[in-house]
Amino acid sequence: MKESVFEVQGEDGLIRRGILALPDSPVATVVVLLPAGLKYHVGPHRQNVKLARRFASAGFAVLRVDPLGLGESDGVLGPAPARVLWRAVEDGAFIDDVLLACQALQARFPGARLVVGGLCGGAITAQLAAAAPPHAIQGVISIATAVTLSAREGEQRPPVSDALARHHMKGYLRKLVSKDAWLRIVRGKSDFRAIWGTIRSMVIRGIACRKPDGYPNENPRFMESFRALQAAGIEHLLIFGTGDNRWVEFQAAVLQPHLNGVLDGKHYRVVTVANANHEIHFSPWQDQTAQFIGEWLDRHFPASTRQVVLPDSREQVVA
Amino acid sequence: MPACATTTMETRGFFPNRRGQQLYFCAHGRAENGVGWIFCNPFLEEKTFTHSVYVALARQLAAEGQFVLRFDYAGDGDSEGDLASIGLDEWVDDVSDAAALGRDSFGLTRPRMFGLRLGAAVALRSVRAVGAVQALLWEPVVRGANYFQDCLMLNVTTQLAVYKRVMDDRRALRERLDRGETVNIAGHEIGKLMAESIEAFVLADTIGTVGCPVDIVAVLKTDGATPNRDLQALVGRPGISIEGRRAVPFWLEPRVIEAPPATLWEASRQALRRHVADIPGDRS
Repeated sequence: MKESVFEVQGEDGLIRRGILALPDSPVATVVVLLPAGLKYHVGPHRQNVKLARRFASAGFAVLRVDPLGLGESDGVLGPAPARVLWRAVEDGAFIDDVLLACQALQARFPGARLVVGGLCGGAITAQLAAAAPPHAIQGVISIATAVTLSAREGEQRPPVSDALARHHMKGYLRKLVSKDAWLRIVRGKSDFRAIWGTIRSMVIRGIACRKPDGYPNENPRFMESFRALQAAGIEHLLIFGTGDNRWVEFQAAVLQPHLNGVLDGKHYRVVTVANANHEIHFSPWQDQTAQFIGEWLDRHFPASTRQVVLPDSREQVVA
Repeated sequence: MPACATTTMETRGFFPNRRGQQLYFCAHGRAENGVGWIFCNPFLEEKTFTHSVYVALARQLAAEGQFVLRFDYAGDGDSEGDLASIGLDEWVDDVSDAAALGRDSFGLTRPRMFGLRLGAAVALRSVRAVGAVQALLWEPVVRGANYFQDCLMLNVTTQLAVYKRVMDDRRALRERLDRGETVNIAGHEIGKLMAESIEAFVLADTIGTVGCPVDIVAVLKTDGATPNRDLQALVGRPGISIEGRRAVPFWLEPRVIEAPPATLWEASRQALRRHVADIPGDRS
C-alpha cells in the first residue's frame, strides 16, 4: 500500500485535494471517501484514513478528498453559522466537486468501477452525486446518513420529530437513575436546549399518545435520489449505529413508510451496528462497520476482476 | 460557497520520521530569509475541528511572505501510526524531523513555533530541540492532568449517551491505561505513554525553560473577561506576553465557522511585530 497526494483542478482554476491510497495490486475498483459534514477528509477519529488503509491493503484504490473550502483544498467556508453550511451540504453543495474527482479517477483508472461513501454529510453527498448524471458512480456507502435538513439562515430550528422525541424521552427516563447524568445537569454540561425541545414536543404537542407521523424537515431529495440509485442499478449500502438519532429518523422517515421495513431490498442493504453512536466512536463498532463495508465490497465490487488497471506514477510525491 | 485560489506555492507530500513512519506535510512558500513557522496540531478531534483554521492561518501568513510548515504527527491526520504506544516525546521528535525537512528542503533555519491547545505544549517542548526563535500559543493547555481528565470525560459521556449509564468511570479508565490497555477518546485509542506525558505537562514549568520569547493569546468567552488564573500568574515573567481576545472555542464543534478568528489573528500580528527586531534577518 502506498499513499500520495491527489490534486484535481476545476474549470474555475481552483484545486481540490486529497490523499490517494493505492494497493500493491492492479486496481479494479476505486473507493472515494468524503468528509463528514465539515470535518475534512480524514473524517471523525480519522475514520477515512483507517478505512482507506484497510481497503487499499485489500486491493482497492481509496481516495479521501476535500471539496472546495474544506481541508487541504482551495477556498474557505464561512464565516457562517455551522448549520447554514450543513444545510448547504445537505442541499448538494459538494456534488460537483465529487463528480470532478470521479472524472479524474476515471481518466486515471479507465474501466475501474467507482464507489463513493462517507458519514453523515458525506453520505448524503455521495448519494446525491451518484444519482446525478452522468451516473458515473456504481456504488454508494452511506454511514449514518441524514434524511433531514438543517435550518437555513433566518429559519427557526426544525421541531423535534415525534419519533425522535419519543426516543429521547425514553433515554431521559433511563438516565433519571444515573448519578453521572445528574452530575452533568448540576454542572451545566447537559444539552438543556435539546432536553427542552423534547419535553416541549412531548407535552405541548401531546405526541406521547399519538402514532408516529412524518418528518416536517425531511430532505425531499433523499427519497428521490434513493429511488434514482435503485432505478440505475447502483448498489447502496446503508450503515447505522442503533444509538444514533439518524437511525431513529431513518426508520421513521424512510424504512417504514417507503421501504416497508425491508432491510435487504433491490440494490440496497441496510445494516446496523448495535449501540454505536453517530460517529461510531468505540473500536468494536469501528471494526464492525469496516467489516460490513468489506463484505459488501467483496460481494458487489471484488478487488480482482478481469478489468484491471495498473496504477501509473502521476501522483505527486515530494519528499 | 465562497472560494478563492491559493496565491502562494504549496508543496505537499510525505516525509519519514526517525521511527520510519511516513508523515504528511504541507509547506507554504519558501523560507527566503531562513525564518518561518512550524505549526503544531492540537489533539484528536480538536485537530479535526481546527484544521481549516490552521490552513487559513498558514495561507494568510504565506500571503504576507512568511513561510509556514504544517505537518501531522505520527497517529495524527494523514500520517502513519497510531496513539496506542507513543506519547508527547515521540511527537516532539516528529517536530524535530519536520524541522529538518524545513531546513533541508525549504531553507528554514530559524523556526518560530505555533500551537493551539495541546499543540502549544508540543510547540513549547520542541523549542530547544529545533532552535526556535519564538513561540506563539493560542489558548494553551495549562495543566495537562486536568486536560486529560476532560479527555477521559469524553469516553464517559459516550457511555452515558449510548448505554444511559456509566460502566467505567474516569478512575477505571485510567486504571486500564496503567494496565497497558488503550482507552477510547472520541474514537481514538490512546495508550499509557500518551496519557502520562500529557498529565506531566505544566505550562508554567515548561515555559520557563524554553529560552525564547513566548506570546500567548487566550480565548475569552466574553468581552471584558480575563485569562484564567494559571495564565495570569505568568504575567510579568520575562519574555512572556499574554493577550486575551474574545472568540468562540473553535476547537470544539463550533456553531459558527470562521477561519481563522479575526480577533486572534489581529492579536497574533501584534505579537509578531513586537519580536521582529529580535530575530536577525526577519522581514515579516
